[in-house]
Amino acid sequence: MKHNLTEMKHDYQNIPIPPELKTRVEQSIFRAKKDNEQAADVSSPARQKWPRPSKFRRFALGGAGGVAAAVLTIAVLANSSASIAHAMEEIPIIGTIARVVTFRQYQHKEHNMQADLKIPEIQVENKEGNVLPDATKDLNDAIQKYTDQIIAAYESDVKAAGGEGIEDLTLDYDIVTDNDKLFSLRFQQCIVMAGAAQSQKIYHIDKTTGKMITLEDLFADQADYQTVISENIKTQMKQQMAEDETKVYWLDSDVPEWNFQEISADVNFYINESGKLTIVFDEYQVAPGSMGIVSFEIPTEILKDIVKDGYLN
Amino acid sequence: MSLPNMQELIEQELLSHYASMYRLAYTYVKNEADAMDIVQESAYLAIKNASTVRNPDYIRTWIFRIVINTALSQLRQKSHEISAEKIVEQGESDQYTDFDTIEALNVLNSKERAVIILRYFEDCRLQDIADAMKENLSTVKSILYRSLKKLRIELTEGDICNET
Repeated sequence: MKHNLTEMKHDYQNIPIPPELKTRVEQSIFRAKKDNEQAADVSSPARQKWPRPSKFRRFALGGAGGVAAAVLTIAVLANSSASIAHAMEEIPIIGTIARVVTFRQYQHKEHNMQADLKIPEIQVENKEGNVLPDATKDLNDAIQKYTDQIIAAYESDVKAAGGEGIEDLTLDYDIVTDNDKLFSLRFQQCIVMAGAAQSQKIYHIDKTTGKMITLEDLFADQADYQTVISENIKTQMKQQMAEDETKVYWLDSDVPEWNFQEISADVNFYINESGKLTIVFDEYQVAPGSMGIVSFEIPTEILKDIVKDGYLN
Repeated sequence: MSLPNMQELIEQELLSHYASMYRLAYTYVKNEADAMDIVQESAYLAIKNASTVRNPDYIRTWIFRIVINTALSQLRQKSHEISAEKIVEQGESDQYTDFDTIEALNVLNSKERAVIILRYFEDCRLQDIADAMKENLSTVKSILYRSLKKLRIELTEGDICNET
C-alpha cells in the first residue's frame, strides 16, 4: 500500500473542528491568565527582598519525561502573640521564635540539565532568645530529608542521561502564612521536563512541642474530622461547578473510582492567612489536570466543636 | 520580552491556531472529546508557562510540542482505565471519524508522527521542529526518512531537504 502525502494532508486538513472548540480555548486562556495574576499577587512586604522565581507552576518542554512540581510547607506554631516579621540583612525574623539563619545553595549545570536549589536553615528560639534544640533539629531535619531526596533524584537523572538529558529543577522557599500564632514556610519545587503533572508535600511542625503534626493532631481525639471536612469540600465542589462551567471536579464522573469520596488522613493542608484550614489536592487527585492544584478553605464554624485551641481562627 | 507581551503573543497564536492544535491532537487520540480536552489543557499550559518562552519565533512549534506531550500523557492515563471503561460504557460512543490515510500514521511512533505532521501538514521548518523537539537537525531528518519509509512514501531527496 502506498500513501500519497498530498492526499494525506488533504484528509488531515479535513478533520472537522468542533464548533465549541474556540470557546473552550478562550476559557482556558482566561483561566490561565487569572491564575497567573494570582501567582503574581501573593507577595507580601516581608518577602519582597527575597530573590525568588515568580511562578508557582512553571513548565517548559523537552525530551521524554514528566513534570513534577512539589510544595513542601513547614508550619511553625509560635507560642507568642507578638506579630513580628521584619527583615534583617534580607534574612527575615519569623515571629519572635523561628528565623531563617542562613541558607545554602545547590547549583548544577551541564548541557541542558540544570538545578538551582535554595535550602534555608531555620533556628527556633523561645521568647527569651534561647535556641530550642529539638524543634530546631526536627525542622531542619525535615527540610534536609526533603531536599536530599530532591537532589538525589536529580543527580540520578543526570547520571542516567549521560549529558543528553533535559531538565530544569528549581527549589525556593517563601512564607505562605505569617500571623500571630503560625508561621508557614513553603518550599516550591519545580521540575521541568515534558508533560504535566504536579504533586506536593506539606509538613507541619507544632513549635510548642517541637513535634511534626498531621491533620489529625489539630482535632480532638476520636473526632470524625474527615467526614466533616469531606462533606464540606463536596458542597464547595458542587457550588463551584454550578457557578462556573469551566470548573470540573470528579464528583459524579463517569469513572466512579475517580470520584472524590473522603480526604485521607495524610491529605495536604495548611492554615491560611485568615486562620482557616485549607485543604490542598494534587493535580489529578480530584479534578482534571487543567484545574491544576486545587485547594478548599474550610469554614472554622463547622470545625469549632472538634478543633483544638490555637490552630484556627 | 516581558511576560504580558509574551503572554499576549501566545494568546494570539492559540486563537489563530487552535484548529491545527486540534487536528494534531486528533491524530493521537482519534476522537473528538479527548482531542478537545487536550487542546483545552494545552492552551491553559501555554498561557500558564508564557514566562518560559524566550524567543517569540518558537511559540508555534512550542505550542505543538505541548499538544503532543499532553496527548501522550492522556493516552498513558487512558491505557490504565480501558478495562474498567469498556464494561461501564453503554451510552453513545465517541465519534471516530474514519480517515484511511490518516490511519496510516498509526504505523509511526509518536516522535515520527510528530515530525511528519509538523513538516508536511503544518509546514513547519525542519529546524523549528528540531528546536521544538530538542533534537539535532540531523536526527530529525533521519526520523523523517525513517517515517517516510515506514509509510512507504517515496520522495526524492529534494522534497525532504529543499530548505537546507
